Amino acid sequence: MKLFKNSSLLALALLLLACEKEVTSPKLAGYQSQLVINAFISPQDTLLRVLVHQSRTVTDDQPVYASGAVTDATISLSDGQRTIRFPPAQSDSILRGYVYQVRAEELPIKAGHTYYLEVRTPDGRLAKAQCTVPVANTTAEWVIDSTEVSENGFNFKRYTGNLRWQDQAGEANYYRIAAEAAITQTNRRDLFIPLSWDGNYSAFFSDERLDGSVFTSPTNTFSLNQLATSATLYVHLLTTDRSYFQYHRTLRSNETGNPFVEPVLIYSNVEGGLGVFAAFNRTTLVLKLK
Amino acid sequence: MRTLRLLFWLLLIPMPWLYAQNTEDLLEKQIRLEKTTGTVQEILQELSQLGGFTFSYSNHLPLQKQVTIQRAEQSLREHLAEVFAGELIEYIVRNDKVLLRNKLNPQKGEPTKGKITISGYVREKGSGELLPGVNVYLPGSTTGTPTNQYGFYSLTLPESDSLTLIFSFVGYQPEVHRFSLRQPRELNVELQAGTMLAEVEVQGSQPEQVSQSVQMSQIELPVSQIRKVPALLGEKDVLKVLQLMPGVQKGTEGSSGLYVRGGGPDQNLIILDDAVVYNASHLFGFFSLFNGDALKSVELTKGGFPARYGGRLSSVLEMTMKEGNKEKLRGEGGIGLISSRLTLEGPLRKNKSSFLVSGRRTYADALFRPFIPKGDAGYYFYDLNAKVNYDFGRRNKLYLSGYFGRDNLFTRKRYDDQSYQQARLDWGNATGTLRWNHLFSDKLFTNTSLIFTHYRLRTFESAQEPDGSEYLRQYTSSIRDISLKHDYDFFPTPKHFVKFGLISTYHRFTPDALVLKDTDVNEQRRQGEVIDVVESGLYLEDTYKPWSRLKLNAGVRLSHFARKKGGYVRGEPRLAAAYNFTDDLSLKASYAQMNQYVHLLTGTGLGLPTDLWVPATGEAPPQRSRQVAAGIAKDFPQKGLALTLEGYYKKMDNVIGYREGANFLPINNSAESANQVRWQHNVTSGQGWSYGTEMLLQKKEGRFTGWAAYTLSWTLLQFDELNFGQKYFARYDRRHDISLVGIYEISPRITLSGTWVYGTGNAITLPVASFRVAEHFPSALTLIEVRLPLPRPITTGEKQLPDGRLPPTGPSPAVSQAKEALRANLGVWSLQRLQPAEPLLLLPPH
Repeated sequence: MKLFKNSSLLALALLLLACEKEVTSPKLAGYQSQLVINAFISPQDTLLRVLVHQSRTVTDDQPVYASGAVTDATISLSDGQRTIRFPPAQSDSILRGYVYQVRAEELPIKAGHTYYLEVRTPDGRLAKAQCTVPVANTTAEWVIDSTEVSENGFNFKRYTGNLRWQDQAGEANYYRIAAEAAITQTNRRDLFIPLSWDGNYSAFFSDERLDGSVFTSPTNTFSLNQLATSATLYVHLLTTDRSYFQYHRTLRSNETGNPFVEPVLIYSNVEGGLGVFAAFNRTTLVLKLK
Repeated sequence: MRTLRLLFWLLLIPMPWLYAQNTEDLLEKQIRLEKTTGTVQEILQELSQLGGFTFSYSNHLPLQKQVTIQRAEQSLREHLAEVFAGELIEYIVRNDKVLLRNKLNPQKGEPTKGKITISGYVREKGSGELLPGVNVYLPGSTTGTPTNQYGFYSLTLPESDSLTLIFSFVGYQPEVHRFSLRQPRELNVELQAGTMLAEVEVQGSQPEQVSQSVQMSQIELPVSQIRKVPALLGEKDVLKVLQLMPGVQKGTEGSSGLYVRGGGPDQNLIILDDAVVYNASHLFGFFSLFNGDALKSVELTKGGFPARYGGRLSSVLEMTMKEGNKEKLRGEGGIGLISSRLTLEGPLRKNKSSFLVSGRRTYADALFRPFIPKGDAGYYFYDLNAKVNYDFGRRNKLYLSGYFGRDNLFTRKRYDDQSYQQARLDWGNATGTLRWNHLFSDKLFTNTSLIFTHYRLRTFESAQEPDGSEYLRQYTSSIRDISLKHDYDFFPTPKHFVKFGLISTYHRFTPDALVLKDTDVNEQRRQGEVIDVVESGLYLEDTYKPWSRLKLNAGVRLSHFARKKGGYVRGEPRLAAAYNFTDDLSLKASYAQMNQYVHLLTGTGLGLPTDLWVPATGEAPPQRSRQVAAGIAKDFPQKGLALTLEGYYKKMDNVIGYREGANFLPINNSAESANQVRWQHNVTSGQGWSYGTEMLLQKKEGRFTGWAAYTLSWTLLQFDELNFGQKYFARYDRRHDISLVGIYEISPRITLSGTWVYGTGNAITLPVASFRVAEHFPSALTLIEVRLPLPRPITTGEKQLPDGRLPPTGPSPAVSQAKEALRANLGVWSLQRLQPAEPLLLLPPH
């Protein structure tokens, strides 16, 4: 009697055990691959370059490392009156990919003008974008200070510098700064080093709450030792359009590595595709230190 | 005994409600008594046990009289005749219940001279616990009232020579009292907890039937049921059981967050003994804070909120702790897979004062310690509930209760070079309540409470080097409340039950406080703002019965929120109505407007304890909801079933959403990341819509109890700054949700229970493609690959996870759905650098 009671209880308990079924390959509605444009123009560049890729669906058959580069696109750039066509894609070893480029003289990029980019592929996809080149900000000045330091038997000069510039009031402005030092040394190879701002090689600014005020960059510290024979500092102040600023800001947000951050969509101003077509105007200060 | 065994085998097939004894035969039933001498009460108990039915009688019967039965085996009628020889007792049989009544002159309504008030307290027999929500009523009429939160009732009735009052409550045996009412009197009653062997039916309709109550959208969970429903790894859990009710969903598998009618876990007001609890879970959302052993009652209101509640949009979960057995010392303990618990309760001064102490702790950390290789790491949680009360008499009672709990996740390491590092994440609540019940008169009952609540979340890292240098980083987020609450319960006539009162809370928020100390770079920093606000509410409500068929609860609440930079005053009308077509069928409707002045920011969807409670500000204004609900309630008294069917529509304004890139927990050390955590920059406001229908078929009494619940719902959100300003389904939107729960009592000591749930999938955004992007260097271009979900407008049904059949709980739940979602979600943020940054190519400046 007791055995029957207990075994029937056990049977009931087994019936109620968990049943698991893992869900594999959820059906995703058909998604078309889209064109991705990357192009940045400025009056200072000697080459106009456009990168064209296409997005890859998570379920496509291509190998993981395939770049998705599009090499058969027809690209045209216009300033409203004249239109130029880009030659076919060329392979670029430094970028390790394909780039469409044309010499800047073909269509000079001027501040204040709006440019229209159109990318067409043989399979009928069309992506369009436009941007307006901002006016250069020429008020930049580099404030520098130096001290002689002696450490571990080496003598070197430590420089600290800030970039300062005046924002144009009454309009929305966006900036980016970067700097490099070109150093030649005795018996050693020439150096070309990017300078860092707060741990990044460049910094972005917006005049949203600081319209019309004087901007000061984070302080930069670098040293020159006695082996250096000559040193030249190139400091760039890029006045950029809003697309440039938004795009890089969202790109940076995706790189934090902090798993608790809310996702950020990468900015795009391309109609019919992804990516960005943005403009900037660069002012470079050349400072000879030695 | 043989009869009992036979019953058991028949009842193993769980359809016992179809099994009913023929009423006529009951009195003729042959019963063989084993013990024929004893008090009347003992004989009656034996008769009912052997016969498989229950007696119902008032204490006025001569229960302690010694009797001897001449014939051990005879019919029930004959047994009763012997027991009550010489007394005029009549027997009335209703299904499986025998009512015993003094055969006095039958009550007759006499022309009344005046109205007399009868009042008192209802307690549980054996422990002295005050019972809230007990129905006190005149049989055969709708005149009656429930006892209030402190077990007090008051009825003003016409004078009469003989009056019958019935006291009934789910889970207890009803009491019938007959007396004459000529002067105001006090009638205190004790109810016997009943493990019913058969259904209860007292003549006429019963007030505990759902069709009789004006309150809709409310779920009352008898604590005894909470203790029997299985949950994750065998731990009894109030919140998990509530998730099995219609209209209440869990966000993700295994979590104990409550999503009530489309509102998130931040929109639930969780009250334990009048104190608000801010973070209701242990173990990262897997277990709730509430120890079932210490609770007396649990009530969840999803809509039609009476005016005495305010401060959150979607639900009110009110829990009351037991006071502690006033008659004898009792202990109870349990061992579980996750935690163990111990409860001690007993009198401090018999029938006057008692205490209750209940604690829980995990010991998983102690068990796993030998397996963790080097160093020390672990996780544990504990909580403690304590309560002390003193009964000064009829007019005054004092209660002091408290809760203290903590979760702790830590790692410690001592290196060979004597350097020492430790990191810790801990969070916990502490609450304390001092309450004073005072009876001004038979009709006016008041309660005054002084409440203290403190919630704190902390991450802590420190390192000590042998050279003496020290590093310390501590981030805390906390909220501290002090409240004063004053409530009145006024019983002017049986037609009105008026409540009014005031509550005022002083909140001190410290949403993000950072302490940094680094002797290496000689940095010492302390930052963090403190925000003080005062939140108050003034309310008035009346439950009014204009006719016997119509019941109304109308009220208004005035809520006020003040901070340094200004404040808000808002009125919240509340209205609920119930109309009885027949005794057991009613139509209900309600409207409620709620305001919420504090926001809960939970950055991730993973249920981590990074909860930030922040006050409403200009950038994050107070949230508001307006809800309309209508439904039908039908009782099936013969079968002990209750069916409710409800539809609701809720519109929410100024709900909180998180901006793109929002970050709540500073991981790095840099000042920039600490600034990023300024919570005001992380949130944005939008609106939400939630609507659907709920069905609940519930059986509360008998050997087999349980319920079947079905919810069909939609929840949509819209934020200007998110998803391109388009409407989208909330992450926790779940179209269909079915729960079946069954509890079967095999014997008084063994219960078998099971649950089965089925839910369609949550809304999810899956990555569908990836593409390469280029970053512009001032001098060149490089390429980075980013995996992204591409923006899609929502279309119904798209990107819903496939239906998941979730398993009946018992041993282990399925985590497959969550796994899939988790993998996909994490995939969104993975970043692969295919091209390392190349040495720069300088394009010569122009």
